[in-house]
Amino acid sequence: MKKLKMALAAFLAGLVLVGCTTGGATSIASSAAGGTTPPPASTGTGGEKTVINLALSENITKLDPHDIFNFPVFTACWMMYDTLIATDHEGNYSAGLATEWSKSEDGLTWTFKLREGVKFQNGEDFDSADVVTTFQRLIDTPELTCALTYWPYLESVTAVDQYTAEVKLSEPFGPAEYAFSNTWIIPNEAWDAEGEKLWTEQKAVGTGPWQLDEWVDGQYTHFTKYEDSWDIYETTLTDVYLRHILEPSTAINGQLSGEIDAYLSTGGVARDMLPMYTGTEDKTEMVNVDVGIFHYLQFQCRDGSVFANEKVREAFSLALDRQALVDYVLGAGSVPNGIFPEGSLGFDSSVPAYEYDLEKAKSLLAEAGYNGEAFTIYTHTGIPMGKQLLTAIQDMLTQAGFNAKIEAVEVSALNNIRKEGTYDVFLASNNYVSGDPYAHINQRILSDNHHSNYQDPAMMQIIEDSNKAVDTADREALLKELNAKMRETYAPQITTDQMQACYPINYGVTGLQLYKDGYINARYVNWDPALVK
Amino acid sequence: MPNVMRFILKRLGMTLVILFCVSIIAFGLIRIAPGNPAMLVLPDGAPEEAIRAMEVKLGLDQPLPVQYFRYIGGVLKGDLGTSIIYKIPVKDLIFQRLPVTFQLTVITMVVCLLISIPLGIIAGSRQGTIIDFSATMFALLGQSMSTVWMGILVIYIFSVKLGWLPSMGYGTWQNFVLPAITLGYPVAAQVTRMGRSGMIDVLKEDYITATYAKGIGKAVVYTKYAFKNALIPIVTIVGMQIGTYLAGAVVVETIFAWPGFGQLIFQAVGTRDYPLVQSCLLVSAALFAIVNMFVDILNSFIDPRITLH
Repeated sequence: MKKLKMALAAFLAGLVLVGCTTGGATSIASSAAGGTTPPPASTGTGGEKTVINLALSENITKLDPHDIFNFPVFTACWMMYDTLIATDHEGNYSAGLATEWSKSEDGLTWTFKLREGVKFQNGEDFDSADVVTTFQRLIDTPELTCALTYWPYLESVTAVDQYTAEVKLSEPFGPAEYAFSNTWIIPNEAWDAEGEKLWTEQKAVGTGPWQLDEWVDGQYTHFTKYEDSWDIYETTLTDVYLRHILEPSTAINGQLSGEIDAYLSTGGVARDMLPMYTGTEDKTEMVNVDVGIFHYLQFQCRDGSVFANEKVREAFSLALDRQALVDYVLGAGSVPNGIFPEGSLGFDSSVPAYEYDLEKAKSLLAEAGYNGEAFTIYTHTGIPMGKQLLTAIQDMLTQAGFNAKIEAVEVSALNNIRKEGTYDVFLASNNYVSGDPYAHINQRILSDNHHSNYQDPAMMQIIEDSNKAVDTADREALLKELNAKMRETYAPQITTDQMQACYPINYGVTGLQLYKDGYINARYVNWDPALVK
Repeated sequence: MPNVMRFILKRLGMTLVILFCVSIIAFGLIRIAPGNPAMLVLPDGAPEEAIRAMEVKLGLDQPLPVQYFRYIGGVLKGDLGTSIIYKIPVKDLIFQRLPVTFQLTVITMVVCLLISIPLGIIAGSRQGTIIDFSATMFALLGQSMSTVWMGILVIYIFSVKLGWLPSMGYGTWQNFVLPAITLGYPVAAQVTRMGRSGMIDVLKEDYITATYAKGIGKAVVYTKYAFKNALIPIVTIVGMQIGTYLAGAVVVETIFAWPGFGQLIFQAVGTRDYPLVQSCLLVSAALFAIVNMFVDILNSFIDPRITLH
């Protein structure tokens, strides 16, 4: 019995000892949650600064640049990787790792002249073998998000010489530059030696100005300066921490207490959280960006559905007072004029914003023979302000004579509903990466992956033509035509608003690129003490 | 075989049965929940063929019994599967996160017990005094406040206003203070209340009167006779709470950006990471069962009248 008592005592003592030992978890493979030192606090509000802490609102689960799961991975990738072509995310392209590029007349062959003297962070030289490795991986692994999203027609890649690479497509592809600007180049030798371990064991290397030091799952991703980068810039900063903070109030409190220098929440900080910053006007600037993130409603248009009738769809659209949604529900943003938000390819400034006319909506409903059939508008709980938006929309629809119910479900539940096509209407949000709507119009309208069952051969032909139009002006004209067609038919989607994102950034932090497509690039983050108030 | 050993073996056997049931329930529940992990790992709006291919890759195209037996077969060999989202072994993920939650739980419990047990016992033995009143207020506040509110309040006071402690993160002793207060206060309140009422009840027992009649001093009566008996309900509660905390203090870990087991479960459920959810629930259940077994053993030492069967 005495032995047992001693064993119990030892067990309890063990509990206490383990508990008292910080760093109990050693780094097994990739994402050690413990066994690490915490990020140094962002010190002071003036003077020279070497460490910066940027809060992101989502976690990272892996650092594979070709299999990106959410916004923060883009932010992390921009720190350390490069693409052949760089983009300003508004449809303009410039030199990246390729100094020049050209396409064949048929638009099938793309030739890149590569930048010389570039070194990866592991010391490996960058050349055409790396380009081959990158694109061959996408050909061999079509389920990667990069391959699925950007490369439907990727056929082959060859090294013409050490600094020239050629990528061949099976079909002419209008958004090719957009696709190249979203494909990060990985090192050939490291990939051959490590394979997937590059991402699962934190061995990822790129050519960018920041190199990965450590990714601590659920906490932060730490980058140190890579002095030999071809893209190095002048800064006093030596360390950048991307802090993954899921709870908004925690991130805001962190910024208020000086632990965080900027809160770069996906889609901006929710407007109802902004009062927490009251009294910090001399320390933190609220940077508002008219981002291309928009909310849209998709109708179920199969035969027999309420929304198979164009007049009902039009009445639905006319019943929405979008300005009121922007002013009173969202607190900021603008009323769109179609499926292409301002700043994206296909936006047509000559088209007026969606109209609001309650009386016309009522008479259209009467004409359509709508008899108060009930329908449900779904959204998912992850949509910023989605539930509030739906409540207001329901109220507006009721005034027009619709019998709408609303339901906010979990994202995976909405995925199922969309997959089965068992919805009447759903509200979702989206953005166009690099300002190019290719992915949206192809996946959600042409391929109808969310099963709206809307059939309009002329509309689908426009999309197909836009995919193959290798001339940007031609493509833009086709996209404007598509917008006009969707405005005319109110199908399969209408938009409700274009969001304005608010990013609280402390004075002194500079160089953050808050793109119009909603993405955030901290690659050139800097610190200027002269800006501190 | 000594009684205790027999008890441990019996409980371990029962634990295995419980874990088997938990594995079936966890497997079933996550699959009943709407959502398809294949869709979640692919870009939104991915084509049907890509979804099908991903389902095949993840083994989701197989009948449910096949999926279950594959999973449980792996578990029996020590392989908890590979996370769909992280693409690394679930075992690694759990063993990275669990010690972080474990540290927080143990430190919270130790500090909480060091404060609440003496407070409860003293309050119970000095009923009606200012100490008793203060302890009751302490318990009332702790049990009335929600963890979320408590967390935000301590961050506001100690991080934002006073700037004494970090509001989030993990790695230094300072990082433990606020989460430990938030996690520990409700338990401390409960233990204080139980200790107080336990002491009051015990002091009314005949055997206490008998010890006084024997001429034994107050201090000895309190510490040797009354305290030991008042401790039994406290140990039970504490045991249950340790199990709950180890299973994941989801709320506290979210508020303080604490990279523990609770945060992992929360994330795994949201992303329908089947192998990760199943294994997290299995490990939680195992921890809960083991801690409760030790609590039962501990209780039998405190009170010999409690026999282990």
